[in-house]
Parts: sequence; structure tokens; C-alpha cells
Amino acid sequence: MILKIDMSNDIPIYQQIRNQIVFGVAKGELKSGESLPTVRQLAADIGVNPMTVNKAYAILKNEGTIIIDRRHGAKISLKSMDSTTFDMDFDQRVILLISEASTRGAKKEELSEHISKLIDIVYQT
Amino acid sequence: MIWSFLIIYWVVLGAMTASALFFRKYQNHQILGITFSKVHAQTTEVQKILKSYQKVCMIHFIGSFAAGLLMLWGPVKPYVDFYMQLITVVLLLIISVILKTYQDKLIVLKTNNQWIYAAKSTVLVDMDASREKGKSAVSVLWSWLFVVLSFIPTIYLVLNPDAQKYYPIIFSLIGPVMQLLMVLMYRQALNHHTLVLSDNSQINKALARKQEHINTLAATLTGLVMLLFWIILSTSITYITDPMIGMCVVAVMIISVLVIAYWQQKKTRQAEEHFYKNSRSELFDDEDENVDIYEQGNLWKWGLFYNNPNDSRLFVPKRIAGMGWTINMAKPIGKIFMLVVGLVLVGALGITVASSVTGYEIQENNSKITVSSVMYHSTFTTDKIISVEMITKIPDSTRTNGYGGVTKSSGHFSVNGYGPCMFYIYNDVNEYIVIHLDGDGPQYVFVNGKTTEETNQLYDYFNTFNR
Repeated sequence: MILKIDMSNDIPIYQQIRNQIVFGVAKGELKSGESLPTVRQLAADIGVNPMTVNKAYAILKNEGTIIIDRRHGAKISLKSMDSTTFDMDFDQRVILLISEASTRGAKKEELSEHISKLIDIVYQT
Repeated sequence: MIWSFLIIYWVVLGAMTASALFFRKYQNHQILGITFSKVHAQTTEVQKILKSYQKVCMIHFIGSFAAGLLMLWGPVKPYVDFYMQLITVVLLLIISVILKTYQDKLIVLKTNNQWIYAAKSTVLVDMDASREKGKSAVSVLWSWLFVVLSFIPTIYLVLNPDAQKYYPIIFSLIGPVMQLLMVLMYRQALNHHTLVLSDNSQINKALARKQEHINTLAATLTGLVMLLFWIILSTSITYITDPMIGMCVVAVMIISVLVIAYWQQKKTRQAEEHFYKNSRSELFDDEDENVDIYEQGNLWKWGLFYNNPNDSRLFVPKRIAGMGWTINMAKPIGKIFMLVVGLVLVGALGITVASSVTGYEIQENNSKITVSSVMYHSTFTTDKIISVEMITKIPDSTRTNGYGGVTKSSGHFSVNGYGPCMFYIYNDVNEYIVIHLDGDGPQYVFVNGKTTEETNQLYDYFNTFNR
């Protein structure tokens, strides 16, 4: 999987790393059990401080997307549907996005259709 | 002696010209520090400019080579050490002007053809290739072995304290410090960013492995060359008094490092070209829209100074990978560092000029005699003078901490048959007064005047204190 990090973007680099790994897992580019580069390897290749990559991995670990083993490094964790998949934080973020679309004049049907297309992009195999 | 200066000058000239010529090769989407896509880099217009640049560099090399020969000309000979430094500075300025001129030509060409690349900086990283880091490297143990071996001269000096007269133990630690820098260079080679040429991870992984092997092998070989240079140099200081041997050792070291750098660049370029040909894919739909390339501006001002406000690093690899690091001038600390380096260089040049043109002073005050040059002085009372003799030829000697110009020599020298001595001599006057002193410190002071008459007068003066 190829990461595209925009060094001049307002989005912090650790957030970009986290977002793209999540996207990669959702699209199937990163499979369950697949190893990620070590913090040092990825930091050296991007050209950032290892703390930046460490922060991204820490967020992913807290979210359950990856597991970190001292011996084997970081790996993508097994995907499973559990009670935390749609938690309050997730609902609040989606409600915010829907509200933003609404304030821009999007109607319910066109918003629903648009979101459906986006879901297809992520879930395409 | 003049030939020693000439050889040093020619070696420096050769290294600078080779460095300037290496810079014209396409690497990391840059030619002469100017961003170009691979397609644009291969156009006739760019290649024409590069051929012209190569020609001008060679003309400059020939001209500078000939300018060096002026050191053998009579009127220049007395000031040859100053002249050498002057033409080295001029050489550097001319190369900078040449580089700037051709950088401007390339920028104008880009503007006229509207070859515009994305302004934002996107870094592509293939995570599969990233995982390969460290797997194809030459073992770091070699570099650490070289660090250990570089202590050989220090161990020798500890076991043979007599040798410390010619070779202070503190100087012997320069080798281990250099080798530690080589270990850092190795780490830098290991952390080199791998280009992403394709969405096919197998291609990116293969390139990553190849690049890592080339870079770490180059860093290890450079460490080996520096180790051999250090051991040979330490041996020559202790046992060999012919300065030509030392010059040859330095020349061989510089040439070896340049050959390794050239090999590294060539192999890296070949690997990139090989995998580039096999990598065309949807990742790069349009040859001009390679998203791994972005407009960096002219990062190498005058071809010498790295200036990138978007780069958070203070130390960055030099233009030619494997040749070490330089400072990022965009950072405030970088500016201060360069200012300090500039002041040190100006100071060193000033001291050399002063040493070259300023004569020695001999003063007597209440039976205390002081003999002084720009950087050294010897003070002794007249009752410490055991004997004074005149000789016409100085035995084989080695400079340990002093100034050894073509026309003058001053400071600490080690002389066969005399041991540690202080020199305040004009080399062209073939008469030397040797003052044997009682007490601690260098027991012999060699001094003479600017002319034979002056030397004879000095000899008569010092002889009055002969016991």
C-alpha cells in the first residue's frame, strides 16, 4: 500500500498516516494480520521524527485498528463487528458531516445517494 | 616543498571539478539543483545546456591547473602559501559563478517551456518497501570494527610514550572521531528515502533493496578508506619525514572517496533507470504528472549552500550522496553555524597571510630573550643558553605543530638528532643558528635572519651568551 503524505497540508502528518491506514484497511489494501513497517522504518522513509509515526500508531492501536507486539511490531488487527463499531463518537462525527452538507443546501435524497456512492468506493474489492 | 603545495592544489582542484561534474547528473528529480521531471530532463534543450556546462567546467579546470603552475614562477615563489590559498578561493568562486549561471539558464528554460510542477510537497511511501529497510544493508559491524581499529595509533602512543614527542596523543583521537562520523554516515545511508516508481510493490521493494545495498556499501567502503588513510598517515608522521609521502597519501584518499561517490551515484542511477523502465503504471498516468515530483525551487544556492525553509533538518546530506553533510542555511542555527565557519576560515587565511609576510622578532629585556612569530614565541633567560652553533643544513625534520611555508618555518618541529625544537627560520637562507637551552620544554631553538649578513649578526649576538 502506498501512503501519500502532503507535507504542506494543514492536516497533521500523524493524522494523515492514521487516516490512510484506516482507508487502506477499509479498502482491503491492508489485510488482517499484515505487518506494518516499524516506527523507525516508516519515519525514516517519510522523513519525519519517529514520534510522529509513534503517535499515529498509538491512535490506531487505541481504536483497535492495529495491535502492537514488542517482538513482531505493528500488525493490522482482525476485523470484527462488535458493540464499539458504531459508538457515540462515530455517530457524532457522521451527524456533523451530514449537518454540514445540509447547511450547504443538500437535500436528503441526493445526500443519501452521494453517501451511498462513497460507501461503494470504500467497500469495492 | 613547492611541489607539495602544487599537488595539494591540484588535488583540491580535481575534487572540486569532479564534484561540479557529478552535480550535472539527473538524480532525485534534480539537475544542478533544479527540479525536472525525467522526461523534461532528457530533452535536447536541457542536454545542450548540460554539455555546455561540462565544457565550461573542463576549460575552468585546465585554466586553474595552469594557474597553479605559477607557483613555480620566481616572483610568486616567496608568497606561494598565500597564493595557493588565494587561487583556491578564486577557484571556488568561479565554480560557484559557473553553477549559478547554468542554474539560471535551466530556470529560464523551464519558464519558457512552462514546465511547471506541483508546488506542494507530497511524499510517497510504499509501506511494503519501507519494511525492507535494514534487510539488504552491509552489516554495520564493519563500521564499528573500523572505529575500534582506528584506536591503533592511540594504543601505540600509550605503549610508546617516546613517540608522543613527534605525535601528540590528542591528535591520535582524530581518527576515532572520523570513524564515528563514518558510522553516522552509514546510518544516514540506511535512512535514505526510497523512490516510489510504481503501484507494484514488488518493483518498489526491489529498488529499495538495491538502493540500500549500494548506499551502505559506499558508506562502509568510505569508512575503510578513511581508516587506511588514518593508519598510513599516523605511521608517516611517526616514521617518515618526507612530506611528499604525506601529500601522496592525502591525494590517494581524496581520489578514492571520489571514486566511491562516483560509483554510488552511477549504480543508483542505473538502478532507478532499470526499475523506472519496468514501472510504468496507472500511478503515473501522464509522464508530466509524476506525483512523486514537486517543485523544490533552487535549493542549492550558488551550487554550494543548501537553503530549504521547508526542510526541518539542520544537517542534510551533501549534493553527492556519501560525501557527508552540510548545513541547512534556512534555519537560524544554520546561518549562525555558517557564519562561525566563515569567520574561522577567514581567520585561518588571515593567520596564513600574516605568517607568510610578517618577519620574526627577537627582543631582549633584562636578560630575558623572546623570539616570536605570528603564532609562536619562545622565551628564555640568557643563563639558560648552554651552547650556540651555526649549521648550514637542517637534518631531517617533521612539523608537529607549526607553520611550514615555502619561505618560512615556525613553531614546533621534531629534528633528527635534536628531538623537539622550536623553529623561527627563513628557509631560503642556508645558515641556521642552533641555540641549545637548559631546562624543560624544547631544548633547541633554530633561528636565522632574512639574509646571511643578518644571520651572522644574530649569531654574534647569541654567541655572547655562550657558556
